[in-house]
Amino acid sequence: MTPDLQSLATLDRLIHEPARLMIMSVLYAVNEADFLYLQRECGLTQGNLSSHLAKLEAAQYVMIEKTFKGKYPMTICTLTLKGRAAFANYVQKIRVVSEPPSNGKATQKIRRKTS
Amino acid sequence: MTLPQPPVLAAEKRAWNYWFVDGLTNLVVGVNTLIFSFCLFNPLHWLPKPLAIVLSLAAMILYLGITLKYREIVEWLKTKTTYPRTGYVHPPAEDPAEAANLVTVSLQGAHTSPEIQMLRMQRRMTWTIAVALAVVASFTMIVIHQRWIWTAAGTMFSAAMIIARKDFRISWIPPVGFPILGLCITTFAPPHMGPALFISGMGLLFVLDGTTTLIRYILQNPKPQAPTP
Repeated sequence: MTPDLQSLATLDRLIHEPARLMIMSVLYAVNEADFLYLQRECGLTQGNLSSHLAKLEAAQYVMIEKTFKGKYPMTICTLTLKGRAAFANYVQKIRVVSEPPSNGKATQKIRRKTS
Repeated sequence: MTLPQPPVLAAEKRAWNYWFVDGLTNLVVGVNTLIFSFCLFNPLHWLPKPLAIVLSLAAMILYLGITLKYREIVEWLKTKTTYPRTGYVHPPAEDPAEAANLVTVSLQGAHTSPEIQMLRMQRRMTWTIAVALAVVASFTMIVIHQRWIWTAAGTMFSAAMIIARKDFRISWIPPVGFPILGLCITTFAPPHMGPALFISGMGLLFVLDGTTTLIRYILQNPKPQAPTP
């Protein structure tokens, strides 16, 4: 395997799954969101979202907290620092993969950083 | 051809817009402005003195209370209307405490992307320009004692609303309403009533804007029924 292709193999598989990638993208952009908001944003079913959230929570990428706002019960999801760093790292790797060849300098710089 | 927006940026924008989606922010601003305008109508002239003093004092206390606890009041209203319908999301960081938290996060190497920071900076810039325009308009209203000033101020407020419209989800009601309000005051109102009428008109425009947005939101998002056991 060439070093260029090797970088693809190091992608975080937990984030790489489309549904979890959607969840991570939303949580990366906001401070915290509740279950209903995530469900509407990602267009996932309740069961699907909860199973993906459970996997992200098990990896300590997401923190889930059950709380109340007034009388309204909420399941608040927050991206942990570990999750934030993992997502930023994932995005950086994807950028390297999708970058046009003319940007060689930038690619080398990122590659040096990640290796 | 326009390139599609990166998903993280789009999510940030939607989360920001979500704070304004139900019109409660503008509704509270409108009600608060109306309360403030009550004192400007000089109730001592048309109410018995003790009652006028009590009512003016109550209005001022209420106004200050709503101004200081604005965010908490809007949040409380949202827990009754918005969160049970479409969920909760914390609005993207704007206040200093949260900004400090973001700095901590960035120091730990997991910073917010530069694109998001750029988006937030643009939003702050829009807000600053709109507020500066509104402040200039208010200042001219106070300094220049001419009838035409109400039309000019109305136009300036309208420009401020147009600038802030996209980022703060203001409907077309305030941008269209302000010049009409200014023109009406210039044409029909007695000069000493100008400030009170302008401020109360401003409050009414925001109340109208907030109410129409809220009604539209409630109609589009009916409250989900509790699941039967």
